[in-house]
Amino acid sequence: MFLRLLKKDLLVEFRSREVSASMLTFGLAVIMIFSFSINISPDLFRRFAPGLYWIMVLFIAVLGLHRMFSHEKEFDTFSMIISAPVERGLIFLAKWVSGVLFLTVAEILITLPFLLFLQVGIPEQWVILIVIILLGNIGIMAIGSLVSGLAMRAKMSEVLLPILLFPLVSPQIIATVQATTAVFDGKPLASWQLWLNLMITFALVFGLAGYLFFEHITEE
Amino acid sequence: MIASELLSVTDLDKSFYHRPILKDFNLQIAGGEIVAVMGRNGVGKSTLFRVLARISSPVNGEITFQGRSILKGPDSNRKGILYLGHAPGMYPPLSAVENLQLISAIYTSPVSQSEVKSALNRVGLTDQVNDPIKIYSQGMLQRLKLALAILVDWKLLLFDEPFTGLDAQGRKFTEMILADWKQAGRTVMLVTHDFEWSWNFCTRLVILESGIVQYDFSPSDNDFTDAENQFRKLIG
Amino acid sequence: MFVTRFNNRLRTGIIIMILLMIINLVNILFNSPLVPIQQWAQKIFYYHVPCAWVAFLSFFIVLIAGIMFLKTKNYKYDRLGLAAAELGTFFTVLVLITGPIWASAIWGKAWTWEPRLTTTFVLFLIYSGYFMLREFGGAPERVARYAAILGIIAFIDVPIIFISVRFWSPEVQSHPQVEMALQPTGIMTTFFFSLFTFTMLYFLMLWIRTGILSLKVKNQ
Repeated sequence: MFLRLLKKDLLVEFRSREVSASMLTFGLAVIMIFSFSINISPDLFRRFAPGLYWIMVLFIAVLGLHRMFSHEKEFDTFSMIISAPVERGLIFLAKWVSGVLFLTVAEILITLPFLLFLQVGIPEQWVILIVIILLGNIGIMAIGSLVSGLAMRAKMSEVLLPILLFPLVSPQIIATVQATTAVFDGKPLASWQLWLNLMITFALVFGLAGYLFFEHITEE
Repeated sequence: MIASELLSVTDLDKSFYHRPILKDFNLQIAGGEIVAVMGRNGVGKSTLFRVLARISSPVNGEITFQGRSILKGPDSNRKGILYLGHAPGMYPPLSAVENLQLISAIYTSPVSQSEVKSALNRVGLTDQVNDPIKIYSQGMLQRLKLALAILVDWKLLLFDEPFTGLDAQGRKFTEMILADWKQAGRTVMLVTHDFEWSWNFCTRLVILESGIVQYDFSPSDNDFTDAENQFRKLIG
Repeated sequence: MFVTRFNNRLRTGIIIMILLMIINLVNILFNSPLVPIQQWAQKIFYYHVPCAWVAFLSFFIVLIAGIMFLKTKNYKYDRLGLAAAELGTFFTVLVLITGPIWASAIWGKAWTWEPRLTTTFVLFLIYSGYFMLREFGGAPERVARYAAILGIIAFIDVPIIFISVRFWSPEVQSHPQVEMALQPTGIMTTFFFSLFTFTMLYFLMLWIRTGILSLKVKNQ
């Protein structure tokens, strides 16, 4: 059933391309603004790059989270889905996984321009960097899908979503930025093991919370 | 009667902005009944359907479907209930065929392309079936919902205003399909404002007022004029 | 009937509370030894720490009320949760005001990203979002559920935020709480009396606020 729900979310996005297209163009625009507004030497910039990268990711994630339920609101399809004899936690899991996939697709196309345009360069441990980025996405989208569900039916949901999300996601941002910085500096795993553990904990805790609470979020 | 009882609503309370909509609401539906739920605007007909479909949560009360609680039990307990609301309940960017396949797969089991095509034929949707449904007219969307009801294997259909937005042909198709279901002994609850049609077609008319069932007519046991007068008085 | 009974108890409660607060103030000013080096600046700690304790206690009550509401759907718990969230935020603000006052005297700067202070600040932001969700969420039946969930996930987030900030800001600052063991013994009695007074004050305020909220419902 989970796979059917996931297939549905992926097909809807594949047809409309709303989420990935908006994430991608917005990401590129942010990179341009970063390069215009930060006039420092590449060496110095490298120290800021992990933080800026995750600011950008968080912004495009918010953009995607806004659209997470948009097609289901327009024709009241959400009611159709929750009325089905399906465990509601699975609806959350499908949203979470599809959200991570959309964000990752957008990042695949944005990360390289970010590293090259801003003259950061590709770090040696780029495989580990990919793992960290994926873990970061998983955590951000876990709490993000949960908060998106809470804000979905509210007035001013576009304001409410980031206001609720940013403080809740702050430990995840600290952890991912620290881990990314460590990898940029080529530090051994032992020095950032803590941040790795924190990211995994965060994803597990809020993934589980979303799975358990979605039952109470879905109903109007 | 009790043996074939399909749905039972007991002491249901539902409020909206802390204003009671349904209050100590009770209703029993037996298998094979075609029930028209009627009443003035805002009396809670659609709310009742949404509560029965578990889209909206009630404050208190109990709802059992096939003898199992759908409020407290696992989600699989509501298997067999299909709700068709005012809105199409499908994905605007997807085609009619894709929508029907995805949603029936989530409700019961996957259906083949040819089953979908034949269902669409029965409701008179033959053109544009591969176009995104966001370009469909209201009547076409209404027919699409009907096609879903043909594909999904339900035991209780909750159909909110089946005739809205339909042309004469669309209405004829809908009535034919409803008649088939009645013939087959299937159970349907529908919201409608057409008293005369309900009287002639449905096996039972349930009229809501002040949060409860005010009148419960069975067309075979009652006089049409009496019933209609009582109904008109209530509607105002 | 309810109102008069409420009024009588309320009057007694408030009178006792005023007396306690005066005794507490006298105690703090004249009845506790001056701490070496910190001198008078240390006195604010008798207010700062009880405020922080009460704020966290309050958010814990929001958590319990949230769990109880989701279980029972009894609006009594929704009102308790709202009242506790309001008071918790109020005391959080007091913590955020008194903290920098003490810090500017002792550390020479008003704000540092110190774990306790930062966690309190993040909680303040989360609860600002909580009230926006309450305000803009739509029907109160739904908002009650959403607020309960947010109260629960906010509390789950606290330890994660605390740990992440703690390892993120490497500078270990001197701390009123940490240094307490080194101080003259006389301050402990005063401190615990103040803690007691604030806890009593908190429960009185909580009682009044839930009373007012339930009166509002009755008059609707």
